[in-house]
This record gives sequence, structure tokens and C-alpha cells, in this order.
Amino acid sequence: MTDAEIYAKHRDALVRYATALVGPDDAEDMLSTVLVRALRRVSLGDLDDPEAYLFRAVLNESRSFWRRARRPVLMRAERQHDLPDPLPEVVEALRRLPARQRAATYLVYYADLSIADAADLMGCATGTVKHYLHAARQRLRRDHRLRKDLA
Amino acid sequence: MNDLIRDAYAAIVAEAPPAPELPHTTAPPARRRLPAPAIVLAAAAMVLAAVGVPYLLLAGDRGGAGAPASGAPSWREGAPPPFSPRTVQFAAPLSDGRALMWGGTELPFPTGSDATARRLLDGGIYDPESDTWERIEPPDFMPAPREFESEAVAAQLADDRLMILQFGGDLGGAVYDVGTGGWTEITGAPGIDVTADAVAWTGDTLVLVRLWKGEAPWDVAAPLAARWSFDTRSWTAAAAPPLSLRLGAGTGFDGERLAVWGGALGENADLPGPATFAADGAIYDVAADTWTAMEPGPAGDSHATVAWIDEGLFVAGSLYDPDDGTWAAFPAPPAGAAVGKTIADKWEYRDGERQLLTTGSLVGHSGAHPAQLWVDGAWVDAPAYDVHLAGARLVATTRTGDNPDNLPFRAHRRDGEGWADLGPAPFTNRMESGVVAIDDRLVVVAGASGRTLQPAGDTWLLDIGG
Repeated sequence: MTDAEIYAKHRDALVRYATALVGPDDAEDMLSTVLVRALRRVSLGDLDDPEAYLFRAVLNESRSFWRRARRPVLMRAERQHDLPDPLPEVVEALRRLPARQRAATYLVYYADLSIADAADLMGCATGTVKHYLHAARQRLRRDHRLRKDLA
Repeated sequence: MNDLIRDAYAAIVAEAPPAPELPHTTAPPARRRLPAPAIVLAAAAMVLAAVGVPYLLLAGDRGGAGAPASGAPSWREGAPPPFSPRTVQFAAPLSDGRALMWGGTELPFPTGSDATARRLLDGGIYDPESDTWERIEPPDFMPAPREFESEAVAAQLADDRLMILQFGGDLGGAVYDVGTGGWTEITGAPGIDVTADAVAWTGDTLVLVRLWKGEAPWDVAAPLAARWSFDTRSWTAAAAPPLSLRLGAGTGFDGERLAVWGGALGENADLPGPATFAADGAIYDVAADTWTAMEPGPAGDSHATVAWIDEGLFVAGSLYDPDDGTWAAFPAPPAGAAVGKTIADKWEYRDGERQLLTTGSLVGHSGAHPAQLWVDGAWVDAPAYDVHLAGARLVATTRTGDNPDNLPFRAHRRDGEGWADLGPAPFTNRMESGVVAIDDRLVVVAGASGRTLQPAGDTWLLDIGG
């Protein structure tokens, strides 16, 4: 497959993943940065698993993005007003998760991947993904804004 | 909860922008398909071939620090830290996977009967992915004290903001914001001029609590508390603890709730002699600025271990349920696990997860530190003193803070019901290094080395593997 064909196959999933990690305002820029860097170094067709390579690159870039911008804005405030309770609070709580916890919760709970598949895309062990999920759930449970809703 | 998370992500990605077009770049030359590590090794071999075999010998165990952890555990040396050789006072992982190392004491220790070492207020942030350091300059408004000159320099990290407090003399402090790379000064708190008996830092709010009357002219008539806001850089009085004055209350903070319990009662509790110990306590909710008195506990104590764990609030060997105000006995560690007086200490998973470590106090120089970990609702033997969470793995290391027999720095990985010995580290024995577990790696920085406590200023990484 050519680079274009490989990218076309995963582009929608990648931009959704990038949006979940850094928000809609920065997802496109971040994914563009990842692609430019990746294609300067490697041809996607030469990789054993280009999907995992790109997903890992997006996660790594999102962490760099974090260092510059601190917390990402996952959703514009005016849109949050339109969401039913308690979703605005959940969005805010997800925003406060460390990047890798957010990646794990997105891949497993939203993208409906298995732990093993999520681990593959994140470039870590399955036990690590389980830890991220556990830590994220604990953190959300302890978020005082969500206590009532989660109870 | 999973449904809520899924629905929230669905709402977030509904706003996903169009995917960018594939950029036009100069395609790399076609090459034989190699797994990533082989490509790295091939590139490294080319470099080494160019510079000659001697370099290979010098750099033999220094792989790329960003290499992923794989099956066999291995140590390798990373880039040296951007600060002087030292013991490291504070080490913790940041939310982005980097490690913050801050403070410590200069090495070698000055000699002479009244010599005191200088406390260091600088540090660094290490990124194991890129094997690079970012320096933390010391706050220019805070003089570095001599060891023992100030009562303490406390440090806490929350939400990627490092808060340091310097007690003794006038209370002063600072916050280092990793996101902006700058220090913010904390000046004296109202009514809490020289010391605090409990400190809680959320990343936005600092809470100081005075529970002991203290010395004139800084003495207080009743317990009090104050809050400092990072956003407004100002202090406000906080709700006062519903407790009597006491000395040596145990404290535990879970990021939102500060529990204080016990302590020695009486005007002269700070003097030698029989003491009466309080068996009561209270819990402060930082967000609500409210105290809730705890029900009286089974026995009074001072300097008790107080720790929030999954099961509730651990207090001096008992378990308190803050929701219904009941006490229950906490399962005792297996008989014979402790040497000397049983002590308990808390340790922290990254990302706010807490568990409890209890161990026998360190008696003698045998090097055998019998320890028991409370993990997932059961006691577990630990082969060494310090315990870290590396990814989802527990890793125990030879204690770095008290190493009288020059024990080799050694790591053990929890495998199923047992521990796998990962072997001794390739560096000389260490005391008070900065040790942080990040993902599947252990990072060990600086420390006092060997029997003569020589200064070390290096960085080592262990891929936990398995």
C-alpha cells in the first residue's frame, strides 16, 4: 500500500483520537505535525504496523503539546452548555486526566478496543493500560463535581 | 461510569475537524523492513564504526533512553542531570511522563564539628523518552538555608506544580509551575508565621493548619488554618479545626481531604514526661472549606500514620469510614513481619492512587528490611524497602535513604504472586537518590555514593521488562 492509501484508511480514526487528546481546535495542527515528522523519517509502507506507529506518534505529540499549553480544551464552552447533565462535568473531568489516561479511556471506552489492541496503539503493556483505566476511573470517582452523578 | 465516559467522548469527537491532507514530503529511500529496535541498533553500529571501538567500550551499556521496555530488564545510563551532584530531596513523576527532581543537599558533606551542608533549591525535569533534561533554576527570592538551620523545607507536587515551604525563621515558600517554568513566591501566612502542623497542596490551593500552640511570640490560643490561592497569590483565613491544641497530630491528604488525628495534649506536651494522647481528629474538605469532626478512635497516639487508602482512612492500625463515622480493626500484618516497633508509612501510586506500605522499623545493619505491603486488599511480602509503581508493575528497590551496609541498589519486579530479582544496578551503592517510576521504567538520579558518600551526578534507567 502507498502512504496515501494507508493514511486514508486511518485518517478519520486518527483525527478523532487527536481531538480526544487535545481538543478540536488543535487536533488538525497536531496531526499535521505528526504526519510531517513521520514521513520525513519513514515511509508508512515500510512499517510493520503503520496504524500503531501513527497512533503512538499522536499520543507522544499530544504530550509535547501539553507541556506547552498545559491543559487542552476538549470542547468549547458554548457547546458544553448544550450537553445534558452531567456530560459537561464529565468532559471537564476528562480534560483534567493525564494524557495517557485519557488515551486509554478513549480507546477502550469510546473506540471499543480490547485492552490488548489499546496497548498496541499506545505502545505499552496490557497491564499498563489496565492501570491507566483504573487510575482514570479512580480519579473521576474522586472528582467532587462528579460524585453525585456517579453515585 | 463507562457509559458516561463514552458519551462524553462522543460529544467531544463530534467536533473533530476534517483530517488534514497527507503532506508532501521527500520520501525516505526504500529500505529493508526492520523492526524498530534493529533500525536503532543498525544506526548506532554505523556511528560506532565511524568513531572507533574505544567509544563502543565506553558506551557499551548506554542504549537510546527512548527505547521501549522489552523482555529482559536492563540498566542503561542516561544524560547527566543539569545540577550539581547531591542527595535528591524530592522526586516525582509529572502527568506528561517526565520526572521532576528537586532540591537536596550539597555533597560532599562539609567536615568539622559545626559544619552544615547547604540545602539546594534547584533541580531538573527529565524526559526518559528523549533522554533530555530541563533545568529548574532556584527561586531568586528565597535564600538557600544550611542543613539544620531551618526546621524543614517541605515539598509537595500537585497538578504539575511543585510547592515548597521553608519553616523556621519566617515562613516562606514558592510554587514552581512546570507548565510555565516559573516560580511564584508565597509570603507568610496570617497567624502561621513559623511552622504548620499540617500542609495540603492541591495545585491551586495551599492549606496550612496550626494545631500546636507554638512558642512566643508566635504562639496561638487555639488551632487555626489558612488558605493560599495560586490564582490570586493571596491568603485567607480558613475554617478553624474543631479540635483542641495538640502536638504531633498525624496527617493524611488525598488531594481533596486533609485528615488530622491524635497528638499529645496539654500545655507541656513538648516537654519530656508522661503525656496524654488525643484519640480524636477531624477531616478538612479543601473545596468546601469545612471541617468534619471524626468519631473518637479506639486509642490515642501521637505521630500516628494517617493515610487514605481504597478502604477508607487508615489511622494508626485501624480503619475509619468517613461516610458513616465508624471504626474497624485493620487486618494485622503477618506475625513476625516486623522487626522492632511496627511502623507504617504510606506510598503513592502515580496519578493519585494511594496504597499503604507498612514495614518493620529498620533495626541493626543486617540489610534485611522485612516489609509488608497492603496491595489490593491483602498483605504482600516485599523484598526491599522502597516500592514504586512502574506502569502496572510493582517494583521494590533497596532503600536508598538508609543504607548503612552499602547494600547494592537492587530492584525486584512483582510477577504474579512472587517477585523477580532484577539484579543489582551497575552503579555504585547509593543513598538518597531521586527515584521515580515512569511507565515501565525506573529512573535513578544522583545521590550519595558508596561508603564514603561521594557525590553522584548521573542518571540511570532500568527497563522493568516482563
